[in-house]
Amino acid sequence: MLTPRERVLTALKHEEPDRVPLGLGASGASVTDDVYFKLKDYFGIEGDVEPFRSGHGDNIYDPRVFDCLGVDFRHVFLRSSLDFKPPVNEDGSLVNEWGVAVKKYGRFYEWVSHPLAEADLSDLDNYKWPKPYTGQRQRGLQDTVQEYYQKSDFAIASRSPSRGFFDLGIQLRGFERFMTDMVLDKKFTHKFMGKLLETIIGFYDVLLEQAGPYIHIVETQDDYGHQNSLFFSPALFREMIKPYRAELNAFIKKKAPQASIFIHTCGAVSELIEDLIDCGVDVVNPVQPLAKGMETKKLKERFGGKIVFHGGIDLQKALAGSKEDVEIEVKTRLRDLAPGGGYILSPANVVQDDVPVENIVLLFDLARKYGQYPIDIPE
Amino acid sequence: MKLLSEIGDKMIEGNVEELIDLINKAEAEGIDQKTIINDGLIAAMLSLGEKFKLNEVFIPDVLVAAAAMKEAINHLGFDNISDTGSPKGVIVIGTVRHDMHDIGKNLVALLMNSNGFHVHDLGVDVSPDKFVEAVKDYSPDILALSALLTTTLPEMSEVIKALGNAGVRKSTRVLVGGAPVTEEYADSIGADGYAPDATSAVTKSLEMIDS
Repeated sequence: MLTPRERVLTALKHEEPDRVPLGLGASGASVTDDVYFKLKDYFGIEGDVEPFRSGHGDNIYDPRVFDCLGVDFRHVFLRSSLDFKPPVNEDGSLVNEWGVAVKKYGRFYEWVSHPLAEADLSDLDNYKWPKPYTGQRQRGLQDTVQEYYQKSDFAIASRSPSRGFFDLGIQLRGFERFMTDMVLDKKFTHKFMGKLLETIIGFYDVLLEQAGPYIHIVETQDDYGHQNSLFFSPALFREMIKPYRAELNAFIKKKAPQASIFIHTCGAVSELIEDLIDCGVDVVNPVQPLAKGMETKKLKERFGGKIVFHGGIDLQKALAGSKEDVEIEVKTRLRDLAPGGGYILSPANVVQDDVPVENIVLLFDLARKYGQYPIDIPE
Repeated sequence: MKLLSEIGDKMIEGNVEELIDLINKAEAEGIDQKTIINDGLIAAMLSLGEKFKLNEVFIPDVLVAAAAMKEAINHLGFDNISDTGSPKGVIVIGTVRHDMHDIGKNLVALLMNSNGFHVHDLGVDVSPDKFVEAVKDYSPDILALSALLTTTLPEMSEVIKALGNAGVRKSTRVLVGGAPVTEEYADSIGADGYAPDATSAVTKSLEMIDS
């Protein structure tokens, strides 16, 4: 039997390990805080851990819960800045470090202001961008990553320290404005993307400066697709976003040459996968199987051997459905994606509050059972 | 006519300056406003919508064209395309309660409007009572409901029940859409129509009004 680390590294090389590696706790592939507490109760785990951030659906990382599920990873991450206290607006929204007001509605945090909506070129120079090098964000990181590396046999992944170019573009500028800018105001958009790149690279610099050599997967994120399509044409991506993504990936490779680069990008993104591979991405998550063009069998035929698939387990129907639905889902994704290696099984996004805990436990039990290589699951 | 199709092309490119020049030229040639709007602007928007449905063009293309269309309409002396003649129909649209997502809903509202509907957009997180009130106030031909989340999907059924309780269910047709919505779900809650994407929402609405 392989260790979790050997298992993951084998899969990353597009070879078959002893069984399919299992992921949870990644950027865009974890569980909401509510689901975390339910899992913690289910497994009878006592004692709280401090949230590593706030203002997101998933703010807690507790490997004890993931170990009960048989997850093969340990995650490391930057913490919130000690120098930054988010101002609170009258409507109760909090202003994050990027200057975007975030408000909780029901179970979700939404962006309620777009501070660069009316900005022009010179405003970009004067804007108060986050300061990655301040606030001791890397506190505890080096001890933790070394301990995981030397004293455990888990694969080590670093969570994304920042959102990506498109996500930040629509948060700061507003959805419709940013979308039309990409077509009509290319000069502004290039300068804007350049400013984002500078700041995002700062975050990765702090994250990887010392910890870089110990990390097996460096996670990044940026959402390029929705249920039915991409948000923009592949040509517009190549022109306005890809150069910046390529530069970020090159920076990560410099700081952690041994690591694989992971991107979380939801929705119908099949027509961008070739470009992602081309600009240095090694692992694509979440492989949202019900989005258009994301049929897992076809993806494996087109891109298997060239990119590692991470995710694949549908949350929109199967995981919130019956036990039978969960079983069919696990078998289907393993059959489609696992042969030949290059697959890390995980829910295809952050597991939401409508998913019963029993289904999550069942998912991981079944993945361990049916994920043994060679994969042999009758139709 | 060549000039009208050029007007459509400039609108789609988002080239407002040349679009306005061509509209002026068309008017100088004696083409009436209604023809410019229907056969130039709206016709181009309809064909763009079809390409959007087939993933041949994308959201930025639709937004750019719609913004240019608005400029053209304003240049012709109207605030809104639905003011330019008898609107194709009246729509009330909103995202259901507890759901704050509006990208899809805004796109539907924009395409509906660009195709000549009069649109009342109630925004996001709209309660069943607010939908009922809007149906009473605006007597829409179609009430369009949007939801992005599996957890807010049941709200659609609540809206339909509330319309029934208020005695106005039969006065409008209910169209539903959004990522988790399916035809089966639409049928199961007694909606009158389902649209899998923004372009289909327009064509479905036109069909529903004609039927």
